[in-house]
Amino acid sequence: MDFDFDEEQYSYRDAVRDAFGRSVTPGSVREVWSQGHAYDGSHGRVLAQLDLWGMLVEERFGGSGASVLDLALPLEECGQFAVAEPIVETLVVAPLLLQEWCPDFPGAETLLTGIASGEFVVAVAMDGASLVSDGARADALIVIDRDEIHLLRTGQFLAAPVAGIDPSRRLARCEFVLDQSTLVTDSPTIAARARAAVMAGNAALAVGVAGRMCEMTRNYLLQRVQFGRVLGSFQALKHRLADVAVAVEAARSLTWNALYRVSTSDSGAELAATAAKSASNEALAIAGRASLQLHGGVGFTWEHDLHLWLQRGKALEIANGSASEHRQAIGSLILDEVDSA
Amino acid sequence: MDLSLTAAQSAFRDEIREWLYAHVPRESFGSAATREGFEQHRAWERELHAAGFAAVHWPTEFGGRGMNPTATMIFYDEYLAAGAPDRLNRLALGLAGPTLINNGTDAQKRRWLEPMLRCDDIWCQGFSEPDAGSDLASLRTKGEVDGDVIRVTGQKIWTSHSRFADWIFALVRTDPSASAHKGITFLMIPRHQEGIDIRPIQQMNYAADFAEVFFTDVAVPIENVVGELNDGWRVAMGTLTQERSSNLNTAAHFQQMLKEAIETIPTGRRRDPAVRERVGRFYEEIEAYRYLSLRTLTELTRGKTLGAQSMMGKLWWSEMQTRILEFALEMIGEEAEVLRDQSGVVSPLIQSYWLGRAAHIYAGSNEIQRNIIAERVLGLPKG
Repeated sequence: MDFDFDEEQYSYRDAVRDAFGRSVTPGSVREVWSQGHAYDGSHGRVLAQLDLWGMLVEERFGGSGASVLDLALPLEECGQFAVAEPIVETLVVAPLLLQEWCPDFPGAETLLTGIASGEFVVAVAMDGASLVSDGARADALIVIDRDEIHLLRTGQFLAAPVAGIDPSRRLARCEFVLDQSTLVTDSPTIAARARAAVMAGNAALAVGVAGRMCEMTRNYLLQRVQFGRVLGSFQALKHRLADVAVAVEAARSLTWNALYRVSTSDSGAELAATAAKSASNEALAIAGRASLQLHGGVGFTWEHDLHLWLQRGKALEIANGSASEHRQAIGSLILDEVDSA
Repeated sequence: MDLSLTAAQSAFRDEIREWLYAHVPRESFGSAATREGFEQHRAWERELHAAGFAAVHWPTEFGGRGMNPTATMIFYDEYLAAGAPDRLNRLALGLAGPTLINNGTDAQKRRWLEPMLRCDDIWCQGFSEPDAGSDLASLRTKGEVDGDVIRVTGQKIWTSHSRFADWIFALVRTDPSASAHKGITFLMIPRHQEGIDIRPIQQMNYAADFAEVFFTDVAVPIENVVGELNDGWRVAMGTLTQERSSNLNTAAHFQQMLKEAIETIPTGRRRDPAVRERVGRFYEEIEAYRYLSLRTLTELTRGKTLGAQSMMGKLWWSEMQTRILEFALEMIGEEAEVLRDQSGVVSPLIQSYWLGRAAHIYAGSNEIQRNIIAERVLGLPKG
């Protein structure tokens, strides 16, 4: 029993962090924000240089055939730097669906090759959602609908661009008709795995976003002087930020576990991912409240970078269900099991 | 990362499981605070020791099995699942023992470690004083070096499990001229001797486990110093780190607590979405604690520097525990106000609830825990 990453996984994380530090600056995030739906693909090119797009794609399709677990730390970095691409959908969900779960789906090869080369991006609509990040830009839309998974190619769905709170998510209102021609699988087991992959992946992004808010606030508290002292020496503020750090580590621990369960196709993956998503929502909420409050007025300005992460965090919190919905689902599972015994 | 058990680990788990199945007493013991209950617990501890399960991660030569810290978690998961009795010598297992393993001389380890596991020696802790709580370094209990003894005079407080204790591991001030942290010595004091007076403190949870301990010119051999003279602060801080990552309060323990809390939900509220949300949240928090702890155990096993999460365990479980117990009290409704049942037994839930509140205070109050996280994890300055 070993619950940590290996040296190789940490050194790859460091390489990703270095590259993002150089190329995915807050300035570049602002640039992507200003482009909105006319995004020029600048962040995607950084992912391509790192060979991130094809991490899970098998070598025969031009990828590197890594496991979901190898992506856990890079996903956190994507959140840390607010990378503006449909990462979980394209890097994680699509390759798992088309290689591991339903390898015989017609046209899979073209899609996987396109993903590995950074040419195609994929969007996901889950559990009745019609607002989809990168819906209008996606080359394929994966729809997870109860026990079914559908895959729609460009032209098979309508996507109307919408202005979202985080313009770099390029939200679109999608309309589609699901039928036998779009059906990939109606296996409840696979649908549960797909749901787990979406939630666990987004939880990892959320941990990165919450961690960045914590770090920005810490740096601000060390620099800002009031009453002749740095703010970071006031206990009330230290305690508030300590609670943020704790929420982030709790969410991180559950997220690692969820991604591990996804990577091993564990039957407990959906439950683990539900808990991870809920805890990461909690971390985003706690970090979001504390970081804006502790930055004071300056955090409320457009000019300060904090709001880039605040709005990304709020968007991730809203996507794939609230903490309260996830907790009710878990509580129902537990009580129904106890009561039927 | 691999969360499955290795062949050796699953063989170990099967061994414990079978042994516990055959040996765990069917009837529950009396309270360890009574002489009869204490002896029942001690007999059980000796069985556990004879089977080599008393402290599996301690060195083999001192009664352990030399296993890694992860094995301790496997052990406690099985131990709790089997409904085995509470451990008796918790302060020895969690604090005094690990301190000796890390800082003791060979002679000290030989003298004290195995008797801890056999419960020949029961240990209690003498750190806090009336004027030295969170500000532990301001402690004043005097330790005067006099030839080959240290003469101890002063007062300790909040000493738990002292009724049947044989030894006190204590901090005493041996150099009053040095700065606060520099003049402190970590000393093992035999409890049964002239000059030691223990007075139990009646607690608000209807128990009297805590005590005040008065020392009047108590002579303690100088070879009972752990670490160097005046180096006790460093030794104690290592001990408190152990206390913070104490492996006795495992996720399995809180899972059991949640199971009992779920039993208190009345039929009419079991489908209430608000109730279900709270149960789901407790599950999430217990699992978070499980994986926070497992990260730390893995780091200990790999010999890595401990990460941020290793400083968060006590804060996390103590606050979570209170929320679970408050939930149970709320679910029980008006009956929760009844202190004694018809046979006069004090409500165990009320006792646990108040004792759980003590967990916010002991082992470094949760405010101190937040200071530690703010200063050591986030690098914010001392206030």
